[in-house]
Amino acid sequence: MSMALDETPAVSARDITKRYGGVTALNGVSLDVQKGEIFGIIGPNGAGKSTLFDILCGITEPSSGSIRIMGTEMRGIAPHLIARSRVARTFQRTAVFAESSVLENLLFGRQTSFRHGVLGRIIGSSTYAEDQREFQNLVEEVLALIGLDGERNRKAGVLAYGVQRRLAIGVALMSDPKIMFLDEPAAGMNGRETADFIALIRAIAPGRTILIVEHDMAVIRQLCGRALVVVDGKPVVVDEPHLVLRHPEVVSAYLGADDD
Amino acid sequence: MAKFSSIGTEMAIQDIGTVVAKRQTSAVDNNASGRMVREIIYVVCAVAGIAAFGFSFSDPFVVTLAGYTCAFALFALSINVILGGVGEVPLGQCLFFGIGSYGAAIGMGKAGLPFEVAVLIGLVLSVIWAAIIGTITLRLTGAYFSIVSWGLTGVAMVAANNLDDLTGGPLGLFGFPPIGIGPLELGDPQTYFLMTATILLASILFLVAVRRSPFGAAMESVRQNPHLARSVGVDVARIRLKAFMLSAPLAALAGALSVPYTQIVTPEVFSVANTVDGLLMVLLGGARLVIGPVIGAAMFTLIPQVLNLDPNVRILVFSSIIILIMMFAPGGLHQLSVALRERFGRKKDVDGVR
Amino acid sequence: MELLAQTLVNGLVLGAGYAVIAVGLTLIFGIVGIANFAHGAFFAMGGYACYLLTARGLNYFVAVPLSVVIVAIIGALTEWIVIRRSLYGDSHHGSLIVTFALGQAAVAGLILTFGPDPLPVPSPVGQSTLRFLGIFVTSQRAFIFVCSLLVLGALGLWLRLSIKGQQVIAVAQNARGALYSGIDVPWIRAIAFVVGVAAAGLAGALLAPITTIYPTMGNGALIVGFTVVILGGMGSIPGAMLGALLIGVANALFETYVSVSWTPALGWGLVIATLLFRPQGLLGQVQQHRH
Repeated sequence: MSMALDETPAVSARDITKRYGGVTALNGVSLDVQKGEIFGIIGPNGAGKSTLFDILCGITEPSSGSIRIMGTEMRGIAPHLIARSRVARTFQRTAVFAESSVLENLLFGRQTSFRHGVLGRIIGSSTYAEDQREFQNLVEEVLALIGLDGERNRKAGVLAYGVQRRLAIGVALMSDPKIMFLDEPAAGMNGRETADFIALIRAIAPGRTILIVEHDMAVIRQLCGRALVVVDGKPVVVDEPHLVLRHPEVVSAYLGADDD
Repeated sequence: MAKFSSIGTEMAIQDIGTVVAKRQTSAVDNNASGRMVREIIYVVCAVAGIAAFGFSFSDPFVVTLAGYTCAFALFALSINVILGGVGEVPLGQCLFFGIGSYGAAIGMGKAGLPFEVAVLIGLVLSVIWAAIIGTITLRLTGAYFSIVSWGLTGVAMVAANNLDDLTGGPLGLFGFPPIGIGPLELGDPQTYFLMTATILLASILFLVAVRRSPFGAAMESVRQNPHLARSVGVDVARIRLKAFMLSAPLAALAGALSVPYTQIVTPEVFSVANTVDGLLMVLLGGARLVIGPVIGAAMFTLIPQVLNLDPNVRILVFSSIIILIMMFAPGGLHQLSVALRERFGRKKDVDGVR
Repeated sequence: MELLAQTLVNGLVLGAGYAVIAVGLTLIFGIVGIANFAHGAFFAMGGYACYLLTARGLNYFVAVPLSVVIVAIIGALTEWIVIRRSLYGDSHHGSLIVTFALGQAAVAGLILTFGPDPLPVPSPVGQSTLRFLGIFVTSQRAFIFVCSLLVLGALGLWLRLSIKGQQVIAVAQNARGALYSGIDVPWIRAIAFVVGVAAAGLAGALLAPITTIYPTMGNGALIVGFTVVILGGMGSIPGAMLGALLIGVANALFETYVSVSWTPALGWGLVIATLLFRPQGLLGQVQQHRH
């Protein structure tokens, strides 16, 4: 994974700190994720990785530090505007719109990616027709990709857990994102679902930058080029997964947590 | 043609102002066109029903009451734009109802304006107030919006009581000249009913169109999961505000249309009892269905008339019903009917053929 | 000058009463996670319970704690039967509607049972006046003030020192974490609800001799409670107390120096100002996400 030295990182964070009342959740975390990387963030529970994630995708404001996405400072920009700049995110809980069908879930983000306006819609301008065509193609592509083509009318809430997660990825794909944040996407999946999921991410990864917070080490090992370990709010090491997992501090942090 | 999905047809129909289907339906998926035919039939039936009722019933009391029911149903609809639309509880919706009522009354009584103009002024005022209140309160927890909008109705009541010159104080405004729109005399029960029923029907069609438009989809995403909606690019605060500003003139119109029936406007129009009534209508019929509030309105404006309940008994009974509904069937009658249908009929699970 | 001092003292007393209401509301919001629109109903029940007991000949000072117990019992029943069932489902506005409906039903019920007119609640200290640094305070007002401070202090101690109290705080900060630590979260929620509404009931019983009781007294208390909580910061108990103080004093000043009939609007003016300039309230935390 070599890149030109003057290329802006896709996601760049400097000295992120986050304090809640008296508790310091994050203490000086910095990272650079290059374009096209699949980057993992791991760490024991409560170590602050979810907080870091929320800050990186613009949902939470850090107490101090800066976040740049594609070189642009992200602090203070509203989440929905970030989403419209082709930065997508999936959530751990409430990953989909449970009361709506698979198709409707995909359609929810549509108006933000259109170039035509209301007038164009009413008079049926050519921009409108183009947008509709492109959009329709996109929907079909995404449905095929996540393997839910035949399930498009099923209510999202009744889908199996792993399938919901696939749908969540599909929803995230609708904005054709350049950068994707996946929050514990494989949580609760069984072995086969996880394998399918890994294949899906591999399929969508080309041309995108993906950040993943995960507990499942298999996922991290198989998908991520690099991973950052956060322990007690502090960054410990950034390196290839198999190296990171052998790092003495990481080992003690994880083993220490499991030790009874 | 093989890969044409229903999206093309649906999106064409759904967009406001574009009713002509632009794409063919695939052979497999004829849900969309079937639905359109059904809906046209509904509308035709509704129009026929309105005409039949309006022209055949002679008892002026019944017909006028039906007209008032339509007006109040419109109020319930406006509540549902918020409740079933974006998922907030507009406890202060009677604020706009009152603005509409007083707008009509003051415009006619004090300024000598024709009814239509007075109503229009009320509508404009309601939108302005919705913009102001919504901007301040909708950014924060749902409870803030509810309590502040409720509190403001109290302020409005205080204001209406104190600003005697304008509002007639506690006794209110009454003694209007015959109310009419152009050649239509709203004092005539039939005309009143036909007018309110038509406006109600038009509003329903409008709201259905809204619900199926991209704006409606955005509203739905906000209602189900604001967090997720934000992450797909929906400006949640703005959608909420727009919905609020859409609901206000509907409520105001309802308030104005109730004046020909009540023939008096007192500070009581701002009373929270109206919200209780409205909420109940919405919850009973089901907030998920656009016409749910209308069903609820029909049931619960007519029943008290028949039973002639003490107003406090009414509030007690209605509030208890609301609690029961929220405990056992939050989706109202609509939810119950869907549940029954699923139980006794076949499950509808359409799998498209690739 | 004397009038000002007098007004301020009245304001302090009002503030103390408001604080008890508002702290109860905050407790419920922070731990049970609902905006309790039935809070005013429990306030009214406290007043009416007190009325019933004193009407049967009980001494006022005995009636007050008994009223609190009665309200607590009703609160427990309500929590068990209604709140639990309609809250923890997926309808996130369910609690608002349900508690709102409960409140309205209570008002209607009170009117039907006791009639719409105000009723007096006699208090042994109702007639006497104390003199304190040149200011006259009715003994009842002094009683309210002292009682409120005692209750608030006791509540604070309970939260900080008792096991249940600490569990309550834990649930307020992180319900899921508390669950994993073995805390019986539903039980704690029930306790918090009962304590919260009992506080409202206490305030109702305390204020009854001054204001007389009437069916819609709850609406006023509810709105005061919310305005205080918004001003002070939703979820902050010290904020609730500060907000109560400010609003109590502001109301008293406004009533004396400006206008009585517009006083209800003052609270809302303060709320609007708060929401415009400092939406998190005086002591609240900036909300990260809107729930």
